[in-house]
Amino acid sequence: MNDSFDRGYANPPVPHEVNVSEKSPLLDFLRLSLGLILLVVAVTSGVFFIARWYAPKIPFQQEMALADRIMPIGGEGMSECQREGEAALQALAEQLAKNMDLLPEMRIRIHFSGASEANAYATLGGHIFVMKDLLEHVDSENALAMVLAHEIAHIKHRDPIVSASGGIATALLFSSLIGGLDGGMLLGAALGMTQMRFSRDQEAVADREALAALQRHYGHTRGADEFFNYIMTKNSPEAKIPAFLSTHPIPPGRVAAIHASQSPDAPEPKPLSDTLLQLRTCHTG
Amino acid sequence: MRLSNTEYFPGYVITKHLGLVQGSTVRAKHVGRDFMAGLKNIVGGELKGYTELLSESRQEALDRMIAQASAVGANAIVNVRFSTANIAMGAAEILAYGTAVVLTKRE
Amino acid sequence: MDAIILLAITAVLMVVGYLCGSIGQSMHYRDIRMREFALRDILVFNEKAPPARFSGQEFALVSGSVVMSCDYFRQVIAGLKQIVGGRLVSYEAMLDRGRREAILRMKEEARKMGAAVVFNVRLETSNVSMSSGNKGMTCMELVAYGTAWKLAPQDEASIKNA
Repeated sequence: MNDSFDRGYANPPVPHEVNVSEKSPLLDFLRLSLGLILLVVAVTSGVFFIARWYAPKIPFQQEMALADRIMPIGGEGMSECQREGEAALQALAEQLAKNMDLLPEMRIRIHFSGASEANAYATLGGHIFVMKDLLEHVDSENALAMVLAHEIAHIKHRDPIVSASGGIATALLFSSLIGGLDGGMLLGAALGMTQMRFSRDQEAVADREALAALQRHYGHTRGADEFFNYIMTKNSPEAKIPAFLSTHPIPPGRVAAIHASQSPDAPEPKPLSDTLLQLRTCHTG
Repeated sequence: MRLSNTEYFPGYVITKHLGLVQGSTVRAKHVGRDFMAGLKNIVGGELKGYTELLSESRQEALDRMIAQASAVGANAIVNVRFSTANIAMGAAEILAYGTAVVLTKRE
Repeated sequence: MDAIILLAITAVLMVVGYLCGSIGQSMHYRDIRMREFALRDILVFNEKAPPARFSGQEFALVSGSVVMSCDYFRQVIAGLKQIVGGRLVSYEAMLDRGRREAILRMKEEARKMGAAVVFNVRLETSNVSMSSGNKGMTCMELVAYGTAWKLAPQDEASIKNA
């Protein structure tokens, strides 16, 4: 050993590489992030489906409390005639609900909205919103009742909470994971996205239920197709398809089923009462 | 003052053992250094500012330990040990300790 | 919107971190290998006692230290890897570089005093992440220290002549 101070002592070169794994960090990164994404997707969809499965088991009182907390509904700014009309709608809905075997704790609450849209929708907590232009396009009480009964049927089958629960659960999951984000904001966004998105099956069941209710209430289902006919004939591109029909292109079968239930020798449909008629013209107070 | 981290010295004898001596210092990084270190941290590698800071501190700890040893009449400190502790945000303590001795060359 | 900006900044930092970090790492390793070759004649051991040849010669404490950090990209990988466990390759390389650098600096100090050998070498690793922990800045201090011994003048001459 030339450069050593003593025969017995030396520092031969050691293989330093053994201490560092020869692995590309990029490959590692790709594998890890792919795994992470898969994990997030799996957990999210798991939570989503568990929430949808569990949602109908939530007691209705809790659903109402939840609905009141996340979307307070106030009837302020309504004129006297609108208040009367809303009460008439509420009375009609309650009569229909009597024929629909709702659970005893279920309460239907109708809200009239001055928005110019031919629409009605059911949402969390048994709330049903009826929009002004809907009344412009129905002439009989039976047609209005069909729409209301359809929405009541959604509430009976807990469709709004099933459809909202997946979104709410994933929003809660993400806001608890990513602490920095505003949970309330996410919740709102999730509700906005999932509100009133019902499946074709849910809509068909609601139609059947509504027809049965009309049959029981009026003794026939004549006039039930009025609003549907209006929607089907409305072809102008700017026409807005109401939310309760917009989930899918309206299957012709749906309207056909309604037609099929109507017997031609049934009595004439009942015209709209004056209280309901004035909702067309009366303005916000 | 001779310093060593061993206690066995061929050719020398320890004639007096004067006990434990220690020197320590606590240093905090200053804002400029921390900012630069933060930038450097993006690209990785050595943080020169911190290296300097800690080796200055280590030298100061040694100096303080040497001051203790000379006060007790030692000419060497043996078995010197270092330790670094991260105390509170952005501050580190460097400690040096050893045994103060009188070391004489064997004739 | 804020989330998108944050994500974009993170992505840029990761790319910059990866490129600069990789270049820096290979340059540092090249430098380390060169200096290790240049200082190969200063022998290091962590046995306590030097052989009899050093009897009565000069000795002194020598040390070398370095504070190392990991680039942003490798820190992110390490963060992800900590979820699943396993080898944190990014930190392995950082600590290996730092430790070899610390030993080299200790050897350089020994060279300055004209020593031929360092005995009782001790290696220490301490976490000096000086900014508050949640910022995720990982800084490690690597220290090497030992007792350097000089050769007797006649021995030095004989080795040089050999």
